[in-house]
Amino acid sequence: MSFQLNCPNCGKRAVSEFTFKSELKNRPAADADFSEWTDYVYFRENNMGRQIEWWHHRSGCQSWFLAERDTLNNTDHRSFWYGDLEQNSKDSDGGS
Amino acid sequence: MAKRITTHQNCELPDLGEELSFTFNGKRIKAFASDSITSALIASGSTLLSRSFKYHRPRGAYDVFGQGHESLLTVNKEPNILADRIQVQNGMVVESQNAWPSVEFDIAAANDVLVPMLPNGFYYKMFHKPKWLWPIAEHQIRKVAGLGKIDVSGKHVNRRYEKHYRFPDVCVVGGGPSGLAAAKGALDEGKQVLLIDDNPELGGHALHSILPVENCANSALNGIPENKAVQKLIEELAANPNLEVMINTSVFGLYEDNLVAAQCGADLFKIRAESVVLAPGATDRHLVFENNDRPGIITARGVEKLIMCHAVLPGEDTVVVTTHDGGFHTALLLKGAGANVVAVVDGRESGSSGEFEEQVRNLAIPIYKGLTAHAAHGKKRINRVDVGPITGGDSHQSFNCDLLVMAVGFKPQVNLLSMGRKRPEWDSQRQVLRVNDLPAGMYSTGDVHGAAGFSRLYAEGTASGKAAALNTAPPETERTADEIIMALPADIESAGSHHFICKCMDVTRAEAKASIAEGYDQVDHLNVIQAWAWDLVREKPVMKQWQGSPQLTPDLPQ
Repeated sequence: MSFQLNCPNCGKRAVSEFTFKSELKNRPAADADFSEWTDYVYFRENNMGRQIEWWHHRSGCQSWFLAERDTLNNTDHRSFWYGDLEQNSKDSDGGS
Repeated sequence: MAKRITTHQNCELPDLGEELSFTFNGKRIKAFASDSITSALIASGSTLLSRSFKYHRPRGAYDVFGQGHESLLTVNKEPNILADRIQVQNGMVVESQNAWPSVEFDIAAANDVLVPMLPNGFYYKMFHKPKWLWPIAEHQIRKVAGLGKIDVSGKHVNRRYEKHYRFPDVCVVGGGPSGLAAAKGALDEGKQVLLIDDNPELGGHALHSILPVENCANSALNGIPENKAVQKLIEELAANPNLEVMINTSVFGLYEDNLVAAQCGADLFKIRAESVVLAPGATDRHLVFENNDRPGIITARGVEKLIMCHAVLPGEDTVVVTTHDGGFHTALLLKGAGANVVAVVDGRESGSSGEFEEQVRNLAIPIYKGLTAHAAHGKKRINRVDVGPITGGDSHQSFNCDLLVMAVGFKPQVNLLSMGRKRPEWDSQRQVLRVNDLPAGMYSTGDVHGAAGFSRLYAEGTASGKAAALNTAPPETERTADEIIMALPADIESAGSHHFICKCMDVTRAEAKASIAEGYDQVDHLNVIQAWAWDLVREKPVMKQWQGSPQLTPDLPQ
């Protein structure tokens, strides 16, 4: 992987500066049953195609943000803050 | 014998710089500051540079551009240095590798007789059972594997390896006519350009061509020979503050989002460019015939470079094997340097003769049509060559010579172009392998789409540079009928069993055929069973004649 990712704070940087954290999933309610929490913690969709993911600018500004990425070819990605998720997930079919 | 020349009838010779000396296998060698190790060794008459990987056959300079294993030497205790690309320094200690006790007398040369008697891939199979045998066999095999020896007392052990970054708008790979033109095209659009070349000097093959430039879009370059024109173009660009030039730098990888990885000595460069223009050019094709690996056989561009850039005439009695007008250009340069051109052997039966063919004919040099090299004779240096029909069979004629020049067309260097997950495809019209379709932000230009004249390379290069700067669609390329070099058979069916199709790994045609017959018919399998290097297999005529291997010949034209 050598593509460039857009940090909402710092701009376009090499992906080696970032850490991939996880695909974005809905957090279960606090009193949800055990299997639901197991699914949330241990299972991944592993989508082939576009999905929204958590990224962390590990060797940069340390901020956490969301990025929509095509997992097949890493092209045409866009990134935004968690606060803008609602607006951004409306624009696309991907994510949860 | 090889010698230094002081005058040339067709061109000016370069200023060689001050005289200095170094040692080769303990022997003192005189050289000039502008020499590469190889050119200095050839000038001093040291034809034998190294021993081959498996059979320990004698090998001498072949390509002179650092594209072969022949020039891998140990320099100042550091093993596996490409001597073709290293300039000599006073007091340098250069040694041959893979030979004991010496490169002149190598005991392991017995392999040349013994190994062919063993079945292919023998050590993978032979020592497998009983089980206790393998550790013992492995120990012995490890001893002979590899080329140079690691010496930790050398200065290179303490070298620091550094990482650097560059962020140009346009990165141009290759500093020949088309690469220079591409840089110019991008610079004219006001972009920051990084130009990379793996040779010690910009200019590419144009540095040793005396063909006059005609109809070039840059009118200042018209009417002068290509070597002068390319110098003029370099001077024109050098003044531009937006251009950075990196020489002696090899690009070894292209990655996502136009990340270009390059190496210059101990430095790694990670280059992130908006767009990349690839202009890697082409090298001389190989010809497979009996003893095609003997010292004294040199590529046409190698010979031209030795004469015009180093003032070295690599042999006295010369035979040129060709399939295009470029071979006659080399013959002319040899004649002008004072060599005795015994014959020019042209593989083409007929066709209109080019400009240089006419000039060679006027010099009363014998030209033989429809023939090619069948076998070379002589061990540590060739002394005779047999020629015969290009379709193989019996040889017609024999010439005594100490230099055999190979000018059998060009092979585009598609290595970098195929890194964008695109396979090279055979272009039956242009008679070369091409990669047409590159990922977004990548462009390619020059000889890699088929050899062409200077003015065409210039025009297409500039257009590619412009397209890269503006991020528009890659421009179309075109080659006219007189520019196209027909890919005549390169795998000559002559007598003998030393037809090397891969000199790096010492693989002969007979061995490859035997492996295929055993069922290792996929290239990846052949690779394992033969320690096979893959570059020569891609040459179409070699593949075409292996009728027993349908997997290797899927979509080639008849």
